[in-house]
Amino acid sequence: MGPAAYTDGMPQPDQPRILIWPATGAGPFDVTADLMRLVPSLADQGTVVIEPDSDRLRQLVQDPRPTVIVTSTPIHEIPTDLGAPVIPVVGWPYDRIPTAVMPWDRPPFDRCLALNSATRAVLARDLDGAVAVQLAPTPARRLAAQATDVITVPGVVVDSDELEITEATIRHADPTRLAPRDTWDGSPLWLRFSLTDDDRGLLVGFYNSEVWGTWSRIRDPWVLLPRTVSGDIRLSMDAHGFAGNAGRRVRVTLGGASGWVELPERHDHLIVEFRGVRPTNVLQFHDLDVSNAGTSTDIRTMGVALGSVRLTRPGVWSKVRDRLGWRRSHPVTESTTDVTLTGVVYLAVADPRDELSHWSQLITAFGMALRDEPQATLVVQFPEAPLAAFFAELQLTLHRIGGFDCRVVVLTGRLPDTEQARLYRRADYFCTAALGAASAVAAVDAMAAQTPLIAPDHTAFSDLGLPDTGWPVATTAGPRGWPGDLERPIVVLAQRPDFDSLVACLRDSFRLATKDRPAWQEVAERASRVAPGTPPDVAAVIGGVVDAGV
Amino acid sequence: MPASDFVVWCPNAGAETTLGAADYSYEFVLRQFVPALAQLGTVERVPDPRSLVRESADRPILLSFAPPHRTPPEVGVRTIPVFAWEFDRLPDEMFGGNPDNDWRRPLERCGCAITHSRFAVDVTKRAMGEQFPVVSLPAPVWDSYTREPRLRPPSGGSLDIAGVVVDSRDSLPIGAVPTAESTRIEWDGPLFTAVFNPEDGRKNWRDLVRGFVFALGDERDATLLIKVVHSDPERGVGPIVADLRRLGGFRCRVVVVQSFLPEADYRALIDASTFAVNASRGEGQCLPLMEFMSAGVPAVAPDHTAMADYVSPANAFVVRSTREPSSWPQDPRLIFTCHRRAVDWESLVDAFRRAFDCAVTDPETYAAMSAAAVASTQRYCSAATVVEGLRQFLPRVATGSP
Repeated sequence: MGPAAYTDGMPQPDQPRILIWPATGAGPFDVTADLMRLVPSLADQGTVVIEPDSDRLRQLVQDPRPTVIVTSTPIHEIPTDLGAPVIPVVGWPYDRIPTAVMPWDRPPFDRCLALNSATRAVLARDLDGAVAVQLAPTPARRLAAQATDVITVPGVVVDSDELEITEATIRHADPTRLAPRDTWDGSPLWLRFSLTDDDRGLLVGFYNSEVWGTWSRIRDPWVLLPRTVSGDIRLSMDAHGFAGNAGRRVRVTLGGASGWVELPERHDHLIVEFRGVRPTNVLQFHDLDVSNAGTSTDIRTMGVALGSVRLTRPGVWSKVRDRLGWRRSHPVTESTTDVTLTGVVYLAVADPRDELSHWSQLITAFGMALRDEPQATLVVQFPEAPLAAFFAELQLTLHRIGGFDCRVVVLTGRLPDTEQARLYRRADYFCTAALGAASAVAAVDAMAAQTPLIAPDHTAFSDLGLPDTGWPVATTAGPRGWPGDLERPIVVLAQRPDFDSLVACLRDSFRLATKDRPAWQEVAERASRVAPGTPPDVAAVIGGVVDAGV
Repeated sequence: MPASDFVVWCPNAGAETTLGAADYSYEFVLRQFVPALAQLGTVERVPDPRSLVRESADRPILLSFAPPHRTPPEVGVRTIPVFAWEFDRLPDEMFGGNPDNDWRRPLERCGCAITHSRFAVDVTKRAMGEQFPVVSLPAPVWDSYTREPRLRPPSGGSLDIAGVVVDSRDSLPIGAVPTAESTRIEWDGPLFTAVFNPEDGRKNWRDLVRGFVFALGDERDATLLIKVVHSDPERGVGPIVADLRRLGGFRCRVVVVQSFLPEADYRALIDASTFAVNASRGEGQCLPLMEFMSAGVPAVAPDHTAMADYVSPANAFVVRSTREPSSWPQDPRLIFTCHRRAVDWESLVDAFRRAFDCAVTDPETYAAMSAAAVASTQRYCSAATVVEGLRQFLPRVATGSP
């Protein structure tokens, strides 16, 4: 795929070029959505070309025409040898730029755009004034849409109303709806559950993973398979038992078929063969001993220790049958789920792989604040994350809250714009418990749709008019390492939300929404007014670089 | 069995070899209580109250130094559970198939209890009713450790340690921790000392270490000495060293020690310390902090849970804290049934800075804090306080059916 020209028709040879280099990936520094919102304001300054591939970007820079690169690439990852002036668009979720660990001696840019005033202050201070920092708040997208109680979701929906969580079991009304609708093709399906394996998110009723795998927590734990499997299946697993489960014969089920394994005392390779498995995506263990609480220093109820599971076809004839029959009878299907929302709706949009998003703490606070309110619903939207990125932590979080009458709905997949706008309209509040955020793009869109904000008043949320536009959550600073790497130095601070403050915000906001609708409406209108429009100075900054003879 | 007025029992005999195990500190509490009880009558220690006490014709009072669910049932004599508690709700649900995990059941059976703080008394009464006989009597450590209040902050010194020592001034080990050996540690300036088991989730040691380095990272004369309470150096020292490596270069100094110090060496450590440090999420009483403060060592610590009884701005640089959800530590379900305290890290950093400044520039304030530390711990955990408390409490509960 070649570069995407933003302007219609061929670029004019005498116009300067503005190369938009959107970063790929997700995480605490991702401001690509913000960058793309700024693009329309640049069209008057030159020919805008969007190029996500860094190699092709370097080729484009070879062209002798004046060129400037505008990028959402995190500033510590910007190469020093791009061959054209660079203007980073920056949202920063921490208190400082850790310049000591930057790969460059001095920044490969002399000006940048900060998405909020907190970021601007950090950049101006830590880049020592060598870089001109212009404020460029993310423009809100105002889509005309009516609030609706029914949201059509193209991805997976996890609804607490469909989960039955007890001390011994966790049941879902229809687990097949939790996985993609595609059928297993019979090629080996190998799931690993160590601390660094994404598949650990598919475990239900287990403790957090360790280096080797993980221990089950409940009597009947299960593994959510990422495919619908059926037919004759050979299950291999690395497993063992502890205390009352060592040497225990344990029943394992898969789509109505049963098998037995004897759990050894030490990790071993165990095999179960299932015949005539009905279509399913649940591999379940039954009747584990959970009466014995671990060791003197470990209170966990240790059932089965599971390192990995591997599903294969047991023989060549089964493979043939699978190709001829089963696969045709269970084709890949695409479907949507209608989610009906009632009562007071709180909306959060997050990326569960961003450790600053703190989403499980938000759910915990919601569950504890509004435990007895059946008319309170928290919708958590994970637009870019697969189920495995959050499912294990979600069900453990819901379990830890204990019984509750309120409702938590998790949506995956990106909604069409109109549907997203309807959801913003339907939501009574947009909420977050983030430790820090580079971007507030979802918040400003929700606020533009008259949705008040519940958020810590820091980083990307610092310009959103709190407390006039909602409820500010109190925070205190805490030390952090660079995200995603336990070995990286601890050099920055993030803001920890105060749990009681978050609970109080949720309770107060629920009271306002249910008891004093006119007052809620006033807050909603203020929220709508504070959402930024098109930033007037962005084009001028870009134009300044171009005019300076790039 | 000889006639005794009191029989004491603890499930964790030989605590020196089980440092870091669950409930290991009950053994140390028992040892501190025995002299106080001896002022009121004869005391006998038994390894298994179920086999021995039932035979007794003298009807002694059994003091069970253990969590209520581990209190021996049906031993035929008046039994008083002596337990520590630091969460805002007593376990009042059955779980794990053991009815006694609902602590109301064993407490109701015993009809009374001794705990170690006003906080724990309030929590117990909320669960058992206002009339339930429960009293706060901490381990009486004051008399053993008290000193004349300090007139000035100790600054600089040396200690000889036989054990595992990791010093941030040397290159931090990667992988295995060093073997135990005799080491002389010498330092200049104020010495901040923390004593904890890093596998005890309440201790919040990462915040403590990071707070110290963030606060005093540029001060060459600031030293944090961590005495690890754990029998296994890999598990006790290794995680702290790994965290120190992530903190990068700093000019202040952190020394991690894993050693079961002989009593004289432990007292020397107390005498050399300028401040005792605690960043815990909750304390049942905190024996090390009580011992240091009894000896006139001001603290850097929060004033929540049991520490509210003896930590104050008069004797400590108080660290703020807020509530956060928690589960009962013995509950494998992990359900959020209670709250613990979340230390305000900025406040901790600020407390370290103020403490350092005080030690370096304000000896008068330091001396006043030292005197206040001695006085407050005397009120809280002196033998006189505890014996008087026992003298008032035991007659209330000694009668009646066991």
